[in-house]
Amino acid sequence: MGVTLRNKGKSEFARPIALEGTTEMKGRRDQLNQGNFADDRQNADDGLALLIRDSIDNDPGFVDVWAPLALLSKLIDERIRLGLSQAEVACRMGVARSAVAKLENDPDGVAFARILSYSRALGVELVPKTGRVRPKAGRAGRGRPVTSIAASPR
Amino acid sequence: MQRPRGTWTNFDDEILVGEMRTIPQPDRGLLFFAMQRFAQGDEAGFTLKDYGGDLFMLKKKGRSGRSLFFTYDEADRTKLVLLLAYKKESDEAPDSLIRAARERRGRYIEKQREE
Repeated sequence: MGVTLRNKGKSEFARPIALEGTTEMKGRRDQLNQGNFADDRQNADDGLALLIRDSIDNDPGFVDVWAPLALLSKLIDERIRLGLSQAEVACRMGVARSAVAKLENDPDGVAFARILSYSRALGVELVPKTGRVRPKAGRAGRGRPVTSIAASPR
Repeated sequence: MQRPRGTWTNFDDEILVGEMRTIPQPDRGLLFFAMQRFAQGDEAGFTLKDYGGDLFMLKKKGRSGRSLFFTYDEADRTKLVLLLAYKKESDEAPDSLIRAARERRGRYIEKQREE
């Protein structure tokens, strides 16, 4: 499963953002090498990207730890790019500003539902990346593909 | 508006890959997250300790479990050079780790000058 982030409602913001690996992607070295897991800010010379790729590639289960954190990092970038304050996002989420600050600064054990709520508050939808991943033999039919996680435009 | 600080580079890919593999997955994930946010210019949520001689330790505020030492590339200050990552066990970094980080910094600088 691969997803892109897209800002709803404003076409100039409809900028796909690659999300690093998720469970279904695990072990697909060819995808890793093609950069599908690599953050779009990072390139082959980025030491951090190399370390992340190694962990995804060689450490079973790491991708499940990393995927929500990678998504959160991209969403924080998006909040800043949109010029939204933590307080504004908190208001949209119906939580205290401190809850957004904690999500961004201390995401240890954060619930995925909270990240989705955060993305909705940004007016960002998560859509699948298609046409880039071929199902591996023996994996077809496993898991439920995400067809769309849409947010209401703000 | 935050400004990206730069990108990470490893003083030695092979050594750091090996060291990262010894850090438990949740701690490693959070360490990568911290590195990514720090490189992006985030100001909040980090403690940056200056050990002098261009050696710095980065750790998440109020958290134990992961820390790293880094330096800046002499010729390109947008290069954050990861020197050593470890699972934090105490408030103060052990002297042996600080020495190791300084030694690695020296090796990195030497290598850069040779190139």
